[in-house]
Amino acid sequence: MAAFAKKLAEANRIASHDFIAKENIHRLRHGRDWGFLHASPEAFDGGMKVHSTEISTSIEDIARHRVECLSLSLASAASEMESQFARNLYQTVNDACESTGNTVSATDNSSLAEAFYAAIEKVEFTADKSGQVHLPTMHAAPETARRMQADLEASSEEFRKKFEEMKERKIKEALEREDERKRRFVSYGTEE
Amino acid sequence: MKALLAIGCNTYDHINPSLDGAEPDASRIFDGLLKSRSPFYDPDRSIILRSPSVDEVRAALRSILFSGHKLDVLTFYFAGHGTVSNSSFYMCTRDTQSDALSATAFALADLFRYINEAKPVQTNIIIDACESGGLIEDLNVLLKGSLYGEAGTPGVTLFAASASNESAQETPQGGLATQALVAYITGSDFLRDDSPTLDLLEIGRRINDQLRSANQSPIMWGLNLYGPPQFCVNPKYSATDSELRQALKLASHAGDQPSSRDISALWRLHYALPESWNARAFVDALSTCLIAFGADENRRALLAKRYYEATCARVLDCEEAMRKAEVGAALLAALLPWLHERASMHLAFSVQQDIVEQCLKTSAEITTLLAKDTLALLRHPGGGLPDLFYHPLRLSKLIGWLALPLSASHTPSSMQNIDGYLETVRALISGNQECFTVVCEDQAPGIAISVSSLICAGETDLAEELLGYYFYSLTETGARIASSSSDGTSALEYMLARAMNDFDVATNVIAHPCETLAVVLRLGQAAGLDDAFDPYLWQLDGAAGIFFLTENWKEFANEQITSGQNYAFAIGREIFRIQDLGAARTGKTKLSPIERFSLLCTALIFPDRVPWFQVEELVAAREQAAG
Repeated sequence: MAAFAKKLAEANRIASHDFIAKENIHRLRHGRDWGFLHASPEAFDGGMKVHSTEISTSIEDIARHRVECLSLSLASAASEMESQFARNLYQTVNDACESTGNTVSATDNSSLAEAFYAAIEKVEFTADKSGQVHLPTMHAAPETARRMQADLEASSEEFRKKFEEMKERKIKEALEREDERKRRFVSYGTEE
Repeated sequence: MKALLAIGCNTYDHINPSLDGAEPDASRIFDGLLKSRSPFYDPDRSIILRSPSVDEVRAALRSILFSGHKLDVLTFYFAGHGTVSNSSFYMCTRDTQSDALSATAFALADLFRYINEAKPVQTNIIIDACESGGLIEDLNVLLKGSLYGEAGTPGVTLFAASASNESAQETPQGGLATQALVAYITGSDFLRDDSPTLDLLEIGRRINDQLRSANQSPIMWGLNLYGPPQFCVNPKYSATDSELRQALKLASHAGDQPSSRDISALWRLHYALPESWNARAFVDALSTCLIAFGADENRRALLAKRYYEATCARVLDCEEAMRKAEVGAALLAALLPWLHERASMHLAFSVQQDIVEQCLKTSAEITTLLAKDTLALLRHPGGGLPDLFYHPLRLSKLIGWLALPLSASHTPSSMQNIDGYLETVRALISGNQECFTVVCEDQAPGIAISVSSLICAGETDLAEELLGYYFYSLTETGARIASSSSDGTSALEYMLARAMNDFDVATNVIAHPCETLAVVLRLGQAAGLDDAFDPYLWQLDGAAGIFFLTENWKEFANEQITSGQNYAFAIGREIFRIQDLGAARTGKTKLSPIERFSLLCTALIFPDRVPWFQVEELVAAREQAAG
């Protein structure tokens, strides 16, 4: 079963990359808790969450040598683990946003396009160390995503202009923050 | 006084055919019984005869039996032709004529008469010849009431390779029975390990079972046997194993004691040595037994002591220079939960001394070796390309181990220890400087222990030099190092990625976050290397590091330490200078010297954990010095 567990872990690892960038995935060797070295007391701490699953195979299936049980069990366990992971991830993001009030309600806005604008407005863009700005990724239920897309396509020229201005401003802010960040090093980019 | 007469007769003047294997058989028996580490027989009183005449046999027996002190043990071995005639068994010598056996062959009855007169306390007679089972015909010579049956009268064991109606079979390697006998004498076959000597009768029984499939039935007779076995040294016997067996003996009363299953696990590991050493299995199996003793601290310490001694005895000739120290370290790891008990603490101090001695010895040997050949450590079987990964690992591990005497430096020779250590580390650097690089997380404890010990000893120049090499290598790779060294496939995958400077292809095998990064930066902080490290820290921008800090030292040897806190950080997020790592995180628990030493040893055998207490104390000392 160790090999089975290893295979399952690999499937889980691949699935987690759909939600989180590789560089943001940490593997810990000991302990049941973690935190950032200088986390502020107000920082949200989602804590550790356990994902678990159970597989069962009937003894009759083994007696009948139904080899497909193996792939079915693996697929079912992997799917359950992935779904728990996704649920926990969205719940943690939701809890973090709720704790700081950084939320947007569709009902408080006149349209889904306006809600989208408000959501992006609340998010900080980030620039990587090579100066490339990464726009936020949006996760939404398929139906909501379709309606939002339709709303955005039907939006007025004025809305689009307002959105583009906001985006440019945020990109500029991201680049300024990145410059500021690099200046905190003693001599970024110099070999001395 | 014990004597052996071994006779092998290949050549016959009057009998056909000549033989090929009899003389080599006699040589093998002679060598097996006399050329072992501690021979059972007196070499000056023992003789080997190759194709002798009957007179030469008689002369040899006369010399062995009747000149000098009375014998305690006589072993007589004969390989050659044998035959039964007129109810007597004859051993054929070079000059034997088949029509004049009584005058020209050596009769077994004659041998019995010699023995009856000389009366060695024990006589072993082995005859590897056809029809040798016919020796029974001569037993009437021996079975005389006046000679046997009284207290202290001689004992005789007879082993004949084949029944009186069988041939003694031969292969190009020699007679089947003799081959089997030599295997028990030399220890290539196992008979028992609880007795320092072996008995011919017991070996004979086992050979009888073995040869049954070859349709050869050795015959055995024993007369008047008493006292300990008196045939040969038992190569499988170990006094330490015997003591361990006593310590593991289950008490007759139902008290706290290991289960027979737990004890079996200990023995399984024990007998896998020296070929297979597994520190994790050793610690886990021993810990299970130590816990089982409950409140009985004396039996706990006794078992730990006996298991340690028995294990050391089995790894005595191991080629790995540090194996005995590893066994000691594993014992200290298993004792961690019990170091508050007096008996376990005393044992730990004695083991500490063994480890220190082993480290000092190895340190001196390495220095001498490197003086002759700076690349000596790279010349070993299995070296070559794998050493691109394993040699840096070996070096950091080695300087960690050899630093241990500095941590036990309450001994009077501590200054000498420091000088010796400095000399060894410098010798290692001089021939292997580029290999003082970080390739794997398993290097973290070695780096932590060696550099912190040097700083503690005031040897900051060498500490800074080592830190410089390790820091530089981390900046070169962006702190992307392998997560573990236990899997060769992953090591190869990592090294190929490193060679191509494309680590995206090996993300699965790269440590993220990296504790070695934390170790090197924190030691840099402790050594006051801000001016040296900070200007280059941007080259590690984005690298993630981690400290795992625990105070539950009793579980420090567990495969997974559950109590404790992981502190993650990223260069360029909250760390821009090494001082940003913050103030020292020294624990509240005051560790005793033996606990500290044991924790360092534990981290060296289980390198996925770092003894942070030693590093953090240095950071605290620096803070204090800075006011």
